[in-house]
Amino acid sequence: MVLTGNDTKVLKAGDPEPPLAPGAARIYSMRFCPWAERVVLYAAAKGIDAEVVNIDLHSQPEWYKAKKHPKGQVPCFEKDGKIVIESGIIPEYLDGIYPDSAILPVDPFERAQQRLVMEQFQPFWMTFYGLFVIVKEQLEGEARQAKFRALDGVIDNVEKNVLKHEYFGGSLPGFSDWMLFPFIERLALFSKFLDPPTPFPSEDRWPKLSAWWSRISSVPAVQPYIQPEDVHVKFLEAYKAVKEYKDAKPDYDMGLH
Amino acid sequence: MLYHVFPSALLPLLTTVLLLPYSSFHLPYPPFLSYSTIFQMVMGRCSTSPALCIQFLANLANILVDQTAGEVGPMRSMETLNRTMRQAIPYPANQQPPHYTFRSFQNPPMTFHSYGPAGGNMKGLNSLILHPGSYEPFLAPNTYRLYSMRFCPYAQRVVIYLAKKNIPVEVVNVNPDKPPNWYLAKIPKGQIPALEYNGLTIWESNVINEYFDDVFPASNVLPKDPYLKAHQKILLERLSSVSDSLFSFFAATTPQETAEVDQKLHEALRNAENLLTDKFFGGPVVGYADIMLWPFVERLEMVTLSPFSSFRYFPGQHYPKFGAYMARMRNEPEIKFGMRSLAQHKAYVDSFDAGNPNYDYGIYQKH
Repeated sequence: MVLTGNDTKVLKAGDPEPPLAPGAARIYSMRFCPWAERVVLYAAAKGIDAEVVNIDLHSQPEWYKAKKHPKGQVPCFEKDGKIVIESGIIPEYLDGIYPDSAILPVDPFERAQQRLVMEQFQPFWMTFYGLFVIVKEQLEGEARQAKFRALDGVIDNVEKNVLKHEYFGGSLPGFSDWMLFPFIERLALFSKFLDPPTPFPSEDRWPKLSAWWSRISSVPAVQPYIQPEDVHVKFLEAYKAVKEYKDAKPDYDMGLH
Repeated sequence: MLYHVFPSALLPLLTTVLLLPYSSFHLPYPPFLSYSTIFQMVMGRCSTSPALCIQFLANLANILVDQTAGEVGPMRSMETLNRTMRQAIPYPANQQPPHYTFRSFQNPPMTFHSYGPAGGNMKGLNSLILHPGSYEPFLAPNTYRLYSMRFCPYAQRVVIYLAKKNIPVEVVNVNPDKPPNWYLAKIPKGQIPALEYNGLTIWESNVINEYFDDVFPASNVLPKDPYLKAHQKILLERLSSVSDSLFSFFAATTPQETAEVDQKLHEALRNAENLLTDKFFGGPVVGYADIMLWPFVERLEMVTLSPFSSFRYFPGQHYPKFGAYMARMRNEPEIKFGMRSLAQHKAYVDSFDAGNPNYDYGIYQKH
């Protein structure tokens, strides 16, 4: 019950397509992509046997865009010739084909509530990179405060209205916990860049969320698939150095040399 | 008696039938049965009764069409053909309806929708909207209530979905811009559409629709098979460029912006045309992706009303598959039920642009 190959070097343009045996599952991923991390963590939490193949997103293998993902993005899940894309759709599909380890609840209303947690974080997706922008563009004063305020408003709402139990999924980690994990992980990382470094989530302002974060980041099943902080920080340096994110040349094999 | 007639009178007509391409049978009055031919028959140049002859010809033509085409397409045109030919036959022979001996004349099996017309399950769809200061209508126990707005595309998705599933639901229209206080107490951000049932609330159109599919699995719109279900959702995601171009169209004010919207719309339609491999995006019958996409496609026809856009028809001659798809969708009873005319959409959008949205437009008219 393990995911193999998460810490392997990326496949680049010119690399052949690795054959996939019938009955075997494969996740196409990149170790530092938050959306791919959602799927890897979900599969690890379910305890399914799958192989992880990392893809170089800048110089992709030709067969990846042609046969697997039409836009050449990660994550992508393949099993028995059936390919499923989108990090919001793959977890439900995994629960469909591996029903014994289902994480989504059976009760229709509870399922709807789990999906709605992600919707309640809606402005978060726009605001969470704000912390990174502060560091990158060395924002000061009002601009900096504005980014903080946007983010804080969302998290306040979540702390008050959404996080009602130990986890977003109830008393055990659920669908929405794993969907959120990579983004809170990155927020915690970005806040280390800040001057002065502000630990995130702050225990005084968001006690429930910080308790949640320490709980979920210590779940044993997903420990092997979380990248160490120093490696992650060095990977993000590549994005700090350029003006436009699309010009960045990150080292997708950071930490594996 | 027929075989005397067959070689002489019918042979030229038969050869014409054999040589005709499939598409010509869409004319209500096919060329091979010209007025002169019928006139000759009617005037007694032929020894057999005209009624019998024409009836025979019609049935024969039908077999040939079925053998060559094998599609359901010509059925409607064959009905009009029969009606036209019956008119050509003199009284009283025209009073006898054609005898449909051939299986191909039977109507194709229709999926059972309901015991009544589509939308019979819904109450209050065109009710007056509730503004701040209104009283909360009482919700009886064990009753589904959908909070909606008559022109909201996301709410229309749920309305079509519920019509397909035929679940009894009461609809309450609520001002989405300034929701009543009692509504904001229920739904934190006052979003539309939303569902309430026994005090439990769900919002977001895709979440509500999946909830109904989970609770009422017998009338599933989303397939049960996990891969097909995922495929429908992925298809909807890949078609999101179509719905995005609607919002770009609303945001465009200058001719340059509208030209850019035209480009985006062309790309989106090209993408949709390539993704359409069957009669519908959901396969041979209307599916999840079709219903979730339809409200945006319905409103996209408004580009034809914009003087700055190059679209004079929607989707236009470059996208025949998508155009045929839209015509097919418009014929579906559940889609027809939820549709509003272009004039109504235009009036609402204009009132919205003017700053005073008229959510109740069209309540007192027949649309």
